[in-house]
Amino acid sequence: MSARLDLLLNAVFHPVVAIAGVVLMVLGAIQLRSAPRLKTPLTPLSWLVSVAVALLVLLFPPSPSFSDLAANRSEILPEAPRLSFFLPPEQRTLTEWVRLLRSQPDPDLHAGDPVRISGFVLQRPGMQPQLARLTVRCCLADATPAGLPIEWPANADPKPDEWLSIEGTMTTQTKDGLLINVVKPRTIQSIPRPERPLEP
Amino acid sequence: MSPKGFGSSMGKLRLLSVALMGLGLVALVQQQILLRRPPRLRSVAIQSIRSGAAALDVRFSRTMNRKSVAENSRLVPHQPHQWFGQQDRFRLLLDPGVLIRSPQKLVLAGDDQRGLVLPNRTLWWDPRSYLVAVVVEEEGEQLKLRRKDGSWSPLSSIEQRILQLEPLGNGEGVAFVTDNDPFKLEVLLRQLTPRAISDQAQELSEPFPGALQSLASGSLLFAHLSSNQRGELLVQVGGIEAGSDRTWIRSVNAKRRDLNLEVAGAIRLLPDGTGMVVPSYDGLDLLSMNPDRNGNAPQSLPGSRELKSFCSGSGRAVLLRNWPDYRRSIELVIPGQPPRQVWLGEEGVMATACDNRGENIWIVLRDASPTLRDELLLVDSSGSVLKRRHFPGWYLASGAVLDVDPATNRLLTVMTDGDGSKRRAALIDGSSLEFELLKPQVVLARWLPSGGELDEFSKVRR
Repeated sequence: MSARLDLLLNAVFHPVVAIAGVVLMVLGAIQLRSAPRLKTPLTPLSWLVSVAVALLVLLFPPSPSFSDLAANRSEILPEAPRLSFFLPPEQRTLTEWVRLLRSQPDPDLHAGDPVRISGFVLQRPGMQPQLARLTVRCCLADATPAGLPIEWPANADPKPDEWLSIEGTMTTQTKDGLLINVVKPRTIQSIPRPERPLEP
Repeated sequence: MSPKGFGSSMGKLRLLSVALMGLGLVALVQQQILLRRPPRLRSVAIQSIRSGAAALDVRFSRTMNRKSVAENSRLVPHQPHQWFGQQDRFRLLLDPGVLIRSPQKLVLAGDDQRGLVLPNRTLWWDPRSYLVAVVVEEEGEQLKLRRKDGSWSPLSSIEQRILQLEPLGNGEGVAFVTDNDPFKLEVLLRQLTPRAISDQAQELSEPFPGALQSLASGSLLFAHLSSNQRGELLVQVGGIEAGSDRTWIRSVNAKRRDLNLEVAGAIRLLPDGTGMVVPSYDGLDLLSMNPDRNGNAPQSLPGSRELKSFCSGSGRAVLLRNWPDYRRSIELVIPGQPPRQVWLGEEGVMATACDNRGENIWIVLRDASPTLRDELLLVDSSGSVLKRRHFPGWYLASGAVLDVDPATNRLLTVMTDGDGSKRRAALIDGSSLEFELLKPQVVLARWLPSGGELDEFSKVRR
């Protein structure tokens, strides 16, 4: 309901979590009902600790740093559920752009294409900040970053984990002797974190 | 527990321990062998969607050091090129404008990310397209392929007439439409095995002809074909009866998928295989390859426009726009941008072509006053005329297309003389616009792209 689960888990698995939650609650209720007949009574301390942890999680929900997580992950993207680049360039998501650039690693093919993407600022040590998304098969445990280099304007101050929407053009730049695609922004807008920040 | 039973348990435990230790040892040995095993080349494939003159996709058995691969691999004769990609998939791209005049020898070398050296592999690769043409014979017309030495190899029997010719974009076949009886057309496909890449120099050769397959036949009034660089083939046929029109796509693995489309003309597949351009009564619609299942609304470009040429796989295209005052304009379409006018005039536009990025656009114009005259223009993407030339005494043949081979920067078309008695395939240099007419009498001529893939270096995959 509060979309917290979307931060941790691919939406496909939400029903599994819901079913598991219901099953556990039913089991808990059964156990509670049969508690007076048990030879070894339930330890009040373990119950208290469990309740305290649950309340803490509810009061202070986890707020994972996508940038920190992404900076320590390999960049081998999982296969796209449906690889189709029929979409006009300005309708491609950031992840679709990254997949396209990896499957067609020919920067001049994409130069000049319009770009309209959103993502969080990914800061890797010693590198220029990128705009990135986390792709997941299941949950944050298997999250893989998909990042695009951005030609940040001089007055831009991208902060790690900040969510931005960028409109601009795909260009090419030579970096360390290699031609690469770089997004040249025309507009950069700060946006709230989307309800479902993880992409399949 | 009795001493005998205790001894038996101990024996089993000892046996289990030994078995576990043995398994651990096997795993350790296997790990050490794999750690020391050098990287291998897994596959090499000709890539037809590229921004340069030619491209090869190279796949290794593990993540390689791109810089090391780029520094240690070499092309003979040397051509300016770059290595792109990451992890275990790389692309060798020959720079735009490079002219390939002979087969290339590619020596692949480099280190993987752990510094283990890839054993050198030598490959031969000929990225130049082959010319296929409908040649006029005494008894009729015949589909033929022109070998690199200039001789011709037949790809079909002699037919009364061959109306259309469509090479598959992956080089694995040529589709054509024959007309041997009134109102009876037949769509045929000559399958080919490309031999443009090999690990043996002597095995580099023209495509090997395979089976001839009939795709459609019977009481057909029209047939239209279009192929993309993946090698898919769109077939549109229709007969005399209303509602007899059929459109389907033949996939690379020969599966047929019917399309339920209402169209106002010939459909063209996008070169990169992601969609198709469908003429409608209001303009041009861009549809995905699965228009029935995909819920996306088509993207439309309104106006009296015709699709003339695709600029390879870059998503760019050249359109002809007809204006109400009988003028015509040529537009370059770049994804996400409004069409860019590169030429406007009153002459007839006979054919156009563009390079991979649409930076060079060739236009054949016909002026009928005071006398009939064809002119070839080379313009850039902003419409500046870079070069122009006339073909004294020669004219573009009716229905002829202008086809580009990026590897040699040569245009191919069919030209006729003044009275139409001579009809020749013309090779035009894309920069100087100098042209050369080939000897045999032809009706149609197209480039057959080079193709092929080496997998595990034991066989050419069909």
